[in-house]
Amino acid sequence: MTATLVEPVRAPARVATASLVLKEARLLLGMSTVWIGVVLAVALCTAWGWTTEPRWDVFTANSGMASLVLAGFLVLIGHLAASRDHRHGSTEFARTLPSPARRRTVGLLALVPAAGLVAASAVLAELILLLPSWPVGAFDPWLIGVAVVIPMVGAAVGVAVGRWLPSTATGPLTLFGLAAVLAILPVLGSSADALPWLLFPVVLDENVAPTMPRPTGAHLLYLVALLVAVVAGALLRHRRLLTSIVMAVALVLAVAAVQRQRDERVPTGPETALPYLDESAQHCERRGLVTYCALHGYGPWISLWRDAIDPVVRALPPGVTDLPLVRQGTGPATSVIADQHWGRHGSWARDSRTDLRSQYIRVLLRMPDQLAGHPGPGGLAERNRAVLPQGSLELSTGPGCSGSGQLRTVMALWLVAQADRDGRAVLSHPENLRFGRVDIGRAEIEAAKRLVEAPRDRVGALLADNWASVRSAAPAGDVLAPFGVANLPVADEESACP
Amino acid sequence: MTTVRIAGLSKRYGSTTAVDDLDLEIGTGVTGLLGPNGAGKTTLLRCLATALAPDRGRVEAYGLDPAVAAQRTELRRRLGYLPQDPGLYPNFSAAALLDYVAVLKEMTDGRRRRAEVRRVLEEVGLADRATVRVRKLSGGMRQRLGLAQALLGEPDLLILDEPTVGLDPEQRMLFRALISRLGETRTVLLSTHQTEDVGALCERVVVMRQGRIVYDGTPRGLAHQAEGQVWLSAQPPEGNLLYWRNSDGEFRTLGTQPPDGTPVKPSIEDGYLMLLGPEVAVR
Repeated sequence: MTATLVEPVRAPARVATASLVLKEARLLLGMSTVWIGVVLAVALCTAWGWTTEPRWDVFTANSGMASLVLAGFLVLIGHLAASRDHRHGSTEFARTLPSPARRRTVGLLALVPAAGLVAASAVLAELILLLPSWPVGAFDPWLIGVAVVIPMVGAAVGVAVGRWLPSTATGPLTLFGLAAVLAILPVLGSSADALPWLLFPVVLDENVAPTMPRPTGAHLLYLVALLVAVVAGALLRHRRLLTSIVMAVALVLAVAAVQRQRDERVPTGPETALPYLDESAQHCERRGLVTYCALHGYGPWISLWRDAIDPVVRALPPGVTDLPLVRQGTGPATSVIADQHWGRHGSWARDSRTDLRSQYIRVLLRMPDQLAGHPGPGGLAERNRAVLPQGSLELSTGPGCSGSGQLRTVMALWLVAQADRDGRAVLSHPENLRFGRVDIGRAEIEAAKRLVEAPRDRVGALLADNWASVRSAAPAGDVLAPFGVANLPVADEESACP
Repeated sequence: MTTVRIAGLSKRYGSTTAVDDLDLEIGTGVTGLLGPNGAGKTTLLRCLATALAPDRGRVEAYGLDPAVAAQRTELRRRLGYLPQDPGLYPNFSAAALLDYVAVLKEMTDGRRRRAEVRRVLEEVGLADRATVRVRKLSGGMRQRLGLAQALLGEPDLLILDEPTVGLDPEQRMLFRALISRLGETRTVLLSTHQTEDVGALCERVVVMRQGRIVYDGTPRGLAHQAEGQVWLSAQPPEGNLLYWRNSDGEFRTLGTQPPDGTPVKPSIEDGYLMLLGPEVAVR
């Protein structure tokens, strides 16, 4: 054995602390468990948002919930790191090392920024996995901050508990306790402005207008104050006076931030949402023959709406110009309302296209809407208020009416079928064919299948010749006879759609 | 030169007195600490290693009093301690563990720290196990790793509590060579049950019993304690302190001369056993 003498270097305390901080951060970043947590969080966020085209509010809510999972991992990891000296009989040798307990705690708190780095990389991975789509709506940087800060709080809690209660069981028990508290908060108060809901770390999406103000900055402040309080709690063992003051200030700040959220929160309901959804909040673009009006940040979805509607527009007689607008938010009932949800893949995307297309055809052919009333002036909220005095944003459904025997019912079905190469297949699933509250009979579907089999020019000519009838409740009569469709059964006057 | 001074040191655990008003001065070189289980060796080493605060008395090493916080930290900077059960972090690799301990020993220069880690791994013969996790090392290897962490930073004072437990003969020889070389310039205090290690390594040996020092001198002097009381005989003796049959079929006896006994030069172990009396010998 030969020894090369290396003169030990004794560094100033500050440098030694910085060295320990870096070491602890590297240890955390080198742990496979942390990255398993990241992979799990990213996978959950991706899975939760998989079926719909991404929106910033939904993405940040999913990312925030996934960050809670990552925070759970970090509670355990932080606790294991902080209680490292108390397991496997390491206490004795660790106690004789020159780094004092305060430096050890400060070093361990390196896990907090490291956890922020890990969380930021998770959010980035979640965003990259959305490609080629990109979230629409209003980007709120505070909500991205929430997804980053939550795992930092988790790491800080793990370290603080580990320094105070180093027994191995404390980590899992802490995690269990926190999970129980988080699970119970929504039970204690589920309305958006309820205190337990504001204390919940993640700001969940509420399907409100993108420009509707939400006090997300105050929420992030609340989380940061919580983080500072927990960090001070970890250091409380070493500098009681200073950390007690910091902790008290942080807690006061947290309470003030929650109060600010309560004060600034816009109450839910159509009255308050209207200014953020009406025509003044929409940006309109004409694409081809149709005008599309999207809410702030939803411009990229216009091409999706157009894909759904173009097959219908192409099948219309030339010269038809009074085509309905497609708009997001609220507007006259003569326009088609696209909501803030759009399926992303496979059948989810197909369903969204079919729904919008059916709605477009319904408005185009002046079929009754969900309220089974005549389409006419007045915004959705206005009409909705008549039905729901309490002012819910949800549209209720009115009584159904029968479209039996009406030419427009058959033509509506034919138009829907134009969007698919196999139009008959579309018509073979009547459960997917919905035009407001119009009941469709078997005979109309069979008639539409006959039209689908006929040359498109012939049906186009029929449509052009009978355009006025197609846009009314007029019975089909013998108009469809050339296509082998016998007289369709007609509904009685009382149940027939107006 | 005296480097460690212990005066009137006492430590009790409940009603048990582990160390009882002990005075000791230690200088550069290797000092062995012998004693039966429960003699207070580990408690003494813990007090000296700043792992335990004494109830009474004073410990001082290199003029530093561990009772004073600032001096305790300074003493820890000059100290390498291998406890009886090192309890090393099982999920770290050998090199990562040593690197972490080196950081805790305030070695901030990454390059020099890595060189130091390599050095101590080579010293204890674990260079080829640097990347193996601690939990996958054998008991002997863990012991060597524990020794490696104590050697980090070339400490002036090395406190080793039963360092040769679990070492194979080859490793024990390497360990002796390493400790004897370190003892040329440093203060090494090692507690052991292996009297061969004491004979091979230590210029001074301290024997403890029931928290007190019962012998403090050279290994040769310890062996001399049994002078004229070690015998070889063909027949098993009666009424003697202790005897056993050796590989030649003769009986080696401690105590009074058996009828057919011939005197034998006593070993350190003989002296140790004679010193502690029949109670320990029987044990």
